[in-house]
Amino acid sequence: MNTNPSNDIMKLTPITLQVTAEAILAYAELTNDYNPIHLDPEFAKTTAMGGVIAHGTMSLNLVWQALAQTLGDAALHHGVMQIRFKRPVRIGQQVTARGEALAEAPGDYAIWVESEEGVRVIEGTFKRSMESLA
Amino acid sequence: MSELYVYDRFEVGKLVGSSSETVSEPLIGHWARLYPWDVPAESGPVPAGLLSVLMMRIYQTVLAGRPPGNIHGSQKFVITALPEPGETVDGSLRCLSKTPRGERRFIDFEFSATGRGGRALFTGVMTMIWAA
Repeated sequence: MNTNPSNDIMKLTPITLQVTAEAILAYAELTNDYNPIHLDPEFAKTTAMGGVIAHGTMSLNLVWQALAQTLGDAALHHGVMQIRFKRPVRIGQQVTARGEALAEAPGDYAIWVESEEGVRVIEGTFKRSMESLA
Repeated sequence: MSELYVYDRFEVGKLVGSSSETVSEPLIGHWARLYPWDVPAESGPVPAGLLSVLMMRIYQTVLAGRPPGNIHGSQKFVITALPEPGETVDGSLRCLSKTPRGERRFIDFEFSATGRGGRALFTGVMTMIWAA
């Protein structure tokens, strides 16, 4: 793992996950989250989502991995992540976490997860603390 | 069976409950099967993504008996330290706010987690769109 705590990295190393029904079930087991909107197509069809969606944090975890891969674990300490789950992620989609440095706030990053088509499904910021930048 | 956690049941400012999860070997193994590129070192802190997992596991325990179909709308995390393998994480969940917007019911939960000896690990705010 890259432990370079450099402040001048402009882009995060992208991390990609293929979303499958098996991966969603494995994530349900990992988190004990068996909400039928993630697992039951018949139920999910009756909701505003119109079908099964993946757990939001399953994709969000890719952002943590991109941050750690690029900046090192130490950079995450005292960091503040704030995101919105903008769009549902469906079975069969491939999602990739990306990020780039914010020009107006050195050390901070715009972060997002996007589909293969480049549509952002998660979007937000990661702000590093002064301690981690020292 | 305990009463269902419907929207009207939550009281703003009130602690919803607390629970604990241990960063066990099976948990780490399960994580590594799903994210094989993010296997933690034998010693030292676990991957940061496991914070989401620990938070969601504690959330499921504290809020057992939720209406089906809730959706995770947004999330904030503030990390103080990452837990280590074998460490037990104590988490508590508080109802921070409730906001109806049209037909949607938003609830903000404040989550805070401590580890061994009460050391601060992370806090967060999760916004859920509540189904009923």
